[in-house]
Amino acid sequence: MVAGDIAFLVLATVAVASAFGVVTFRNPIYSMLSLILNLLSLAFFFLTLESIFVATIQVLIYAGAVMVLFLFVVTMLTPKGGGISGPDRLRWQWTAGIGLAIILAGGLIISLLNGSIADGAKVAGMNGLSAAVARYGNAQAFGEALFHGFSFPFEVTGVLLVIAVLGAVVLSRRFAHE
Amino acid sequence: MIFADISPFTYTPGATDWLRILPELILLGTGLLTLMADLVAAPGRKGWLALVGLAGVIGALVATVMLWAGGTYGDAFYGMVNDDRVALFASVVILFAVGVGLLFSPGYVERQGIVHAGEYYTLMILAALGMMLMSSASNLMMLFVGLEILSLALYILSAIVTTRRRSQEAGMKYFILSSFASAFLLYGMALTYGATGKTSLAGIRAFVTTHAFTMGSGFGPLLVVALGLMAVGFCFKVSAIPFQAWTPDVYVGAPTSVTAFMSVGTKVAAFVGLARVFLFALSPLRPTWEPVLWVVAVLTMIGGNLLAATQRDVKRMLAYSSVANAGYMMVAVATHTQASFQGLLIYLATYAAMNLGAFGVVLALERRDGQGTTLDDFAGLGRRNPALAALMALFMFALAGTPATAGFIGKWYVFYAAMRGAHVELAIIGLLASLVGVYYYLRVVWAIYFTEPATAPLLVTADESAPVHEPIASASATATGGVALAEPATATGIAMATRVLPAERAPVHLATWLGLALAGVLTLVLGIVPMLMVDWALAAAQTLVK
Repeated sequence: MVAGDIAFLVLATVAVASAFGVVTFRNPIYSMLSLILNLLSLAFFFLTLESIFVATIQVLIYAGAVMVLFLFVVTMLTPKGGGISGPDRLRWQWTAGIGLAIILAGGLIISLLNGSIADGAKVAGMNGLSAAVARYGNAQAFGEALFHGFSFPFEVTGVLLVIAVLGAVVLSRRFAHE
Repeated sequence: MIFADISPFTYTPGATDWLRILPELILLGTGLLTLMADLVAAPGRKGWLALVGLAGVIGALVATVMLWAGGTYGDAFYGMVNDDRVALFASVVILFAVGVGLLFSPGYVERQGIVHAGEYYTLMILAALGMMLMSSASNLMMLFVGLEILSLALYILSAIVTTRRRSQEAGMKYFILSSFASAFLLYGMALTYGATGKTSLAGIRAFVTTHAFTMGSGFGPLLVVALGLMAVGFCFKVSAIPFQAWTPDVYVGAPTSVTAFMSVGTKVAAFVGLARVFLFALSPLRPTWEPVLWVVAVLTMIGGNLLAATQRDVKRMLAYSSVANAGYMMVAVATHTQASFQGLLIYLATYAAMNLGAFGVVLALERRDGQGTTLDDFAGLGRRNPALAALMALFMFALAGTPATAGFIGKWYVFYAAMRGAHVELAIIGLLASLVGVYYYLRVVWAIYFTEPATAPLLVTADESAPVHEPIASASATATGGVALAEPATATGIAMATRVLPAERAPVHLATWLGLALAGVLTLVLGIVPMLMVDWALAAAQTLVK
């Protein structure tokens, strides 16, 4: 087994376990911390893919800025003692959910182990990527893709942000006569 | 991957690129304009924002027709969107839906006391923009961004009645379940990219056509998983069984004007997106995905109709009827011929006319507390409001598929294409399922003309007088009828009823009448002289399915 495979297995375990922690911890602070761990392991994934720029951004923006905001909000809104108390009312749903998740994961793994990514795709994807990175460097290649090839979806995402802002206003702003 | 394609990065958008998305640009401008105009609109007098929106919608419609007449369609913005006939046909239907939705809004928004009226109109227009972008996408990235724009706007619109818990619940439910489905879709798209190295639909099609597809090796397994995940995502968005559970609660909880618009618009966008991915990009893999969609179509047609037949709340019945209609449309996708895709487009257009109208009548009858949409409330409508009654009867006959209405034309083209496309069994199951549909649609007509209101004016049912914050599940418990007020709630019920009643029979807003008339006329016109639309749908189908 090569080093890359071992790194992948370790990172994948950490990523899945921490993602699981996000939804199972009953104290929201612990959930937040697991989410940071999850985002960090994703950053390492990007590193193993030699995508240094995206990995840096992942750490700076997600594991850094966004999570700090999340933590602030959670600590401000969580009542004293924190966490959800009382019995779990979703008992059989848990069992059913885990069962179905195992079936889905099993199906995915079986399908994926029965074949590999097409050679054509590897040529088109990996070689194109490596060539671009070799020619322009990591951040440049990323920027070229984002602002040349995919500039339109990138711009349209602005509409999405406008909608998100509107949603924040609609859902949080209350009027006196309500 | 993109680098290989765009190297040496010389692409810059030109005038043609902008011209091709002119309808979307107009709609975007209108959406932002209403957002700004909201600043100067006095609280409680924001109905004219709908007029601003309507002007933009008409402008976008004109631009769409001009693009169609121009006849030179193609990709724009490095193959992200295109303005082919399919996109333009879908745009016309979506613009019609948002136009009628805007007409329904002023009276309803006022009556329901929606305080965020300004945001309401902006979100409605931006949702339509997302639908148009999704249906004109020629790249998986764009497809997903369009889908997210329309979904996000609709989550908020569903929850916009801040004083009604049902609406809040609808928004939350829609948000959580739908983002889960979006994740499935995105995962499927990522695996498609992994298998083919392309995100552009044409690129995926070229790759799948030139490479041998085998289950045991090569890109087979990865793509099969991707197909399954994407099918889950799309089936959720079109509310096909077994992914329909959110539909009734969201459609009932959301403001009726929003329900009318989204039941049509989401279906158009999601079905055109589905067709672009499955009928165009992954068309060579037809043997793999066809059985899946076959099963979904059958389940949806049978299940949707049976569930709808058990409802006594007309709004909820229409929600399940939209599930059933998704089944008929799925037949067209599973058949996968040029004629069946033409049928799908025709069905979408006819469904838009009659479904918008049906929800419009429900909206006109709905009271301030969100009640008043059960079969009992339709009793005797024929005498109380003959015009409204006649329109509802027309829409019900159309949804049931009566000849000389739009509903017949849609069903005819879909089922005929299924028979010609070697799916006779789907056509037969569909026809039998529609017979169940005839029962519950005509039951509304029966209630309107042949039954009397079960109660004296003041003795309303226990359910009608229930407080505003009422759990969704009890909506179907109205069946017991009026005077059976044996519950302890009787006294308070009557007391509250006297308070609620004055606002109950509010006159129908002029704009609502206009919207209903538009939908009614179109339901008749598409039913009696459908030939022009049929030709357009054929022209559109020819550009996508060869």
